[in-house]
Amino acid sequence: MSSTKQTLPPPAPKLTGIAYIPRWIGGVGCYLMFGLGGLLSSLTVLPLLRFWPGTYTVKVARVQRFVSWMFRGFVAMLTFAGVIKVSQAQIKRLNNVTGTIIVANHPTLVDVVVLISLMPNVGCVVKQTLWRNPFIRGVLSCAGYIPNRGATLLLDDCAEVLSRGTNVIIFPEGTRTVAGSIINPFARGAANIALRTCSDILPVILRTDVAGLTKQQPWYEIPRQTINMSVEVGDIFSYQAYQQLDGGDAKRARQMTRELEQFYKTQLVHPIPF
Amino acid sequence: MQSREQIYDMLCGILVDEFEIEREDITLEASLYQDLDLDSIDAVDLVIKLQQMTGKKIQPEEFKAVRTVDDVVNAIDGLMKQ
Repeated sequence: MSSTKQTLPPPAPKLTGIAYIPRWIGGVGCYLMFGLGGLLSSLTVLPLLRFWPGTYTVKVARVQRFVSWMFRGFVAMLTFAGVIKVSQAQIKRLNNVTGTIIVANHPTLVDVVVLISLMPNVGCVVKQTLWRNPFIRGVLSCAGYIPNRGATLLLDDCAEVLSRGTNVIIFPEGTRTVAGSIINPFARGAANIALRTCSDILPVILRTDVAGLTKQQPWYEIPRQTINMSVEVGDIFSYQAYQQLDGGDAKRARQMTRELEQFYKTQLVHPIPF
Repeated sequence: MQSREQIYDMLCGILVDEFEIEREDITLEASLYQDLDLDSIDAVDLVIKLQQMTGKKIQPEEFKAVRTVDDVVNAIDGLMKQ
């Protein structure tokens, strides 16, 4: 295991009374800025990037870099507001991968933002309903994100995106980790995509010290304690190692998923506190 | 012509061999997705496997409404009678 286990800084103090007010305003301000940023960029920068000359691949890469850059700004805002403090020692390893499935556990609401902010060439699978949303449909399609529209089409789309060199983020937990658990049971999509598109899986561990922005809390419950999050990069799960196993892809995907789950349980050790 | 029992046995064989499902968990009423933990990619694999074993072309629409083991047996039974 080459991922050097990082030690998180000591837990932040819990803000109470008046001291919490600026934190709350800052946190809600971040949400507002996120919405505004999305809306404004899809009216200004994104159309520009879209019609700027270049092949489809070049355009998509450009938009992905822009989104990554925007999210870096957003993470800076969250840090300034004291909502989250991200530490990462292995950012280089994330920067240099291409055409790989990035798997991560899912402790908070902002995980995908943190991951995209660290990677210039990444896409993700986005649920069908969001593709009908007129405000973000534009961003989604020009960033080359993948609509979740049934198994066969999804596999084809993933194969195409990965072969272009884009990385694809997948949270096998499906939704944020339930408090009291280390991880939710993994769905087998990531392993299936890896095996059937011949792509490797790079596991990323998001280690947090306090529960915040979890599934159980409403979005406006801004954490009173700054969430310390360390982003750690594990060793590649090579699709080739699993393709050598007996049985069909369905069986291999089950084995790969079990080993991924085991890896996260061993790495994370502690459940998300209540 | 295969009987429903033969179709059921064949289906059980596929589920055990390909999808690591315990034989005792399989009943006619068992839901493929909830009880037997198949996902949408498994469903595609299952259809392909069934096509190979029956030699019949299965249209995706015929499989859309399938939820339980019994539904699969009925669908295959219907196909074999055509």
